[in-house]
Amino acid sequence: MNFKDTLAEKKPKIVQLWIESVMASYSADGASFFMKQKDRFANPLGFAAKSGLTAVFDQLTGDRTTQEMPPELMQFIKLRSVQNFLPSAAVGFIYQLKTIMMAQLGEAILLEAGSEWFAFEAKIDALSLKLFDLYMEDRELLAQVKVNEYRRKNHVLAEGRCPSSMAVNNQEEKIELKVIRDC
Amino acid sequence: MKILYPFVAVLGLIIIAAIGSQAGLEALFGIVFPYLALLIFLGGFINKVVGWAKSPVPFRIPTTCGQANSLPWIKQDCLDCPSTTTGVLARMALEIFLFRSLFRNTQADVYDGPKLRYGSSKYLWLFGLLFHYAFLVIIVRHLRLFADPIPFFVNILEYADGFLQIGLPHLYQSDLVILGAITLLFLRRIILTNVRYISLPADYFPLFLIFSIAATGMLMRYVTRVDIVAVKQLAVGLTTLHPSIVGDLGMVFYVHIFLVCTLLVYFPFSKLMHMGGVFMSPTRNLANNSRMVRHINPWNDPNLKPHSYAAYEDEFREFMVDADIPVDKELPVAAAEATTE
Amino acid sequence: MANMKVDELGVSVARDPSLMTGAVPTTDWWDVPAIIKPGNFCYPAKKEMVEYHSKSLPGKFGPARTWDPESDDWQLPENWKEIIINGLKERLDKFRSLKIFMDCCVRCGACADKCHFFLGTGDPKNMPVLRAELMRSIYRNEFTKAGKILGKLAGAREMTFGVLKEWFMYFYQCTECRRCSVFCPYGIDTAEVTMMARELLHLVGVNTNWILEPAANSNRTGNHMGLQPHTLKENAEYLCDDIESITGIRITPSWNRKGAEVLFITPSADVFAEPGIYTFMGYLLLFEHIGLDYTFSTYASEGGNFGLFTNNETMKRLNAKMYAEAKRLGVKWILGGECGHMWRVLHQYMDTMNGPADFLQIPKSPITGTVFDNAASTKMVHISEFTADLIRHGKLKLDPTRNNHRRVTYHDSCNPARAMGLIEEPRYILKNVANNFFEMPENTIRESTFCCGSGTGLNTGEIMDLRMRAGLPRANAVQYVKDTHDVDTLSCVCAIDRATLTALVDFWVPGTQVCGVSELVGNALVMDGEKERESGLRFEPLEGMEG
Repeated sequence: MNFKDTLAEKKPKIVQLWIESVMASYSADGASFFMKQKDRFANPLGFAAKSGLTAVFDQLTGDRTTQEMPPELMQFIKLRSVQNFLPSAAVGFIYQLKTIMMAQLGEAILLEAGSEWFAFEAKIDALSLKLFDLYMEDRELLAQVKVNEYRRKNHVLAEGRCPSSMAVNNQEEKIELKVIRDC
Repeated sequence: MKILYPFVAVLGLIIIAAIGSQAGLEALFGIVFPYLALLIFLGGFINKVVGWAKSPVPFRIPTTCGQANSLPWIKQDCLDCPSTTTGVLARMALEIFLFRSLFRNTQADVYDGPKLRYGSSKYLWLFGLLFHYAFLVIIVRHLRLFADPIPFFVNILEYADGFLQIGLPHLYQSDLVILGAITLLFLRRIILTNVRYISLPADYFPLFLIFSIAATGMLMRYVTRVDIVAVKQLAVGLTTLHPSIVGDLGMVFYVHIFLVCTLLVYFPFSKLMHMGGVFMSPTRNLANNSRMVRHINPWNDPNLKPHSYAAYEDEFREFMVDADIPVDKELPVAAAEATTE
Repeated sequence: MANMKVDELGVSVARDPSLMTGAVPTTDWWDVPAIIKPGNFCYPAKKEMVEYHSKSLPGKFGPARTWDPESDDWQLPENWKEIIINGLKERLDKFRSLKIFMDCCVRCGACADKCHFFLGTGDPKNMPVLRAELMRSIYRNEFTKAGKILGKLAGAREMTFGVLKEWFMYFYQCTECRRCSVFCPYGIDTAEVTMMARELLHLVGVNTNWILEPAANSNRTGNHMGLQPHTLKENAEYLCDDIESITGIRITPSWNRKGAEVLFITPSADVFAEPGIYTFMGYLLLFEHIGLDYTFSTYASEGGNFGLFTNNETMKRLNAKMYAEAKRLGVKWILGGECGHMWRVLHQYMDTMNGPADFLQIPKSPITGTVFDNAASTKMVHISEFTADLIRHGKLKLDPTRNNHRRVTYHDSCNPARAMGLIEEPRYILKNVANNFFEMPENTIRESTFCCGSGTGLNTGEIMDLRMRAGLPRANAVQYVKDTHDVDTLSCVCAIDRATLTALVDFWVPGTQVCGVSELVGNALVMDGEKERESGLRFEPLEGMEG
């Protein structure tokens, strides 16, 4: 059996293991729930992981025809970008695929596959850089969201320097204290 | 540990009863403990409910789970968002008899993949309902031991419960159901990791205890064939306050009754009090008519006043006058001149 | 490659102590410490804020000081444990709800996966049951026999600084949205528990600025924004200028006018911040259209009530302004704008706290003659009820094609849906003012609606990541209608939603706009003597006017 066929055959198992290993980066109790609950609205995190990782795998094996980033993957990275992970952990899950594949396919097949396997690995490496770009894009977006919110004057609620309190007293430094004592 | 301790505790209770009853302490286990347990149960239960009742319900805070009573042409959801006492009674009845809130869990409908519906919550509803009803049936059936003559509904229920007529004596479905439901509730608790994570020893203890009670009960009925006449004599004696133990009731009987006593004693001090609490939960037993009828809060402090308008105007009068906003008190003349300049 | 083990090859995924990336906890939840670090806590209140609040409510806000939640010394009062325990006792005696919710939970887990914070973070302590257990464990230890005798076996534990940290973390990761309460077989409402916990935290001076400062502003200036009367009026005038350039109609609302029939109160964000201002323009157009005799108040210029997130007393004091002002102005009844928690207070608390409003009349629509019996005692009507009634009676000239450039869905705000039952009115309005209306999936709307993730004073910038996680379930449903129906407008009846959903969809579903239902009403209203409209209230071109 050649590399491609073996890969096709083992795909469900590999993807499953990969999803599990990524899910293990959430605490155990959450992870089990995220694995089980199938409803995409009751379990958006689990849904994003599953669809995102499956899409990546299809991309790598060439089962997806387009070269564009799968939207499911982009959504998943977006999620990782706000989940308190270190940047390395947020995108590092892609490398876990390598180890899982090595274990699943076995030495013999990989040696036989030779250049095909190296090409596959190279794809993973290239993708990992793209994931990092995506991650940064999302962080930038988040920063933009903060700026936008600021522009919408949301901060006025708790800045202690709302325009009208300025009007009361123009001695900038003393504004806050003065306003408070005046009340 | 969370599972082991309660397991050992129940095992310990069984051993105590087994040894005690064989050591000539039948009267203690058969008469003294039941009375004591009943007293503690009643006292504890009443104490707890009275304790709850002592705290007022300062605000009317029903959880509205449907359209409220509003404009006449908008259909109100009278069951999930009742605005009348009748509606509340209906809502409570559905909650208490059918566990409506738990049932609600099954609404999810879009699934990815042709997977089976994942419905631990629905199972929870089903197991819960089966368990509670089986328990109720068993308790009512036991009335035949305590009442003479046997109330007619007990006979009917007993007949219905054993209608499959398997084995002799006839197997009660409720016995099977309660053992099955407890087992499933237990399995659910250990299999679903998030439920296992939130579980306390206090969640396992009642499961083990009730399982053991049911098991010993079945053992007596189907295996050891306890002397039912003697049991009835004791039971009727207990109810009529002339208790006496005639003949040998067997070790299993004492274990059974001791575990029941434990359950009674444990009940008022544990989560089992949800039986009483479900009736008194302010998010369910109040009508959503907060804007129609004023709810009274006994500790409302009428002296707590807002920052007054007068103080507000004093602070901002100049600006208000300047902006042509009406004021209650005009500016002093000097200041008024200053602003017009 | 050949002989390497999988483990050795595994990328070392950083296991920093965050709860999200933590190693599989083999420990029980009470042994997992809460770690407070930048991005997962709201900034504590400024010292002056605490001083200010303590002046009117001495003893309710703990010591005024500057403190750092990340440090291990919060400069708590010496006897802080005693204060908390006594405070808990006092509240158990005052609230039956608390007592019952402390006793009745059987930990069935039905609520576990209903919380948007849990769904977005995966942190088990965000399961409502555990959130409540954080307090229950203390309750058992202090107030139950089982807890005193059996200790840990009965799920009891002592109040420690670690527990206090947990409280600060997790009771500020609850938006009091009540979704869990819908699914609980005993109706246990985590919102009640969170409210009590926050009251207790305030007693020892553990607080957040995002809540106390708006509350202080509201107390003094009448609104959260701290807008003084002239600024408020001026801002409204700017919006009237915009209305004039869009419709050709000049509107001059009145302020603090005695003798008006109706007092209108809406969240101050509507006057000041995007996108609430468009909703405000919608109100103005509506009132002008029907010739309503109404007035705004500068003194009671805030619909929202951050006291709800603080303590009972603050809530009462802030809310009391509404009746006080209605009485002073001599209006007949009060009309309330679109806001979520504002309506929780108005519907379930106001009459009890500050009623009876016997100086007002039972609200009656001067246009349709409809008597709002459902507000017979409180005498305050929701703008959606009022508008729906107008539409039903054919009193509004509407041109729904003017919202054809929008594909609209509707987000049920938590409080109107689950603490009031306002579900059909906004939908009825939407269906009459917009031609393209699509519902989000069933289990994410109505009583099962998902919170925006930033309610109860959590809509602050320093926890933006957290807000994005918490809002994921909502955003996910929005994404779905965007994918299936090209929805680009998320409407709602809540000022906090308007502010926070905007940020949420900016991140998750870019290209989606958030608006109040009244904005769409304003777009659709055909005013007498108006010029041909080329744009909506945001100056966005209408369908067919893009060129």
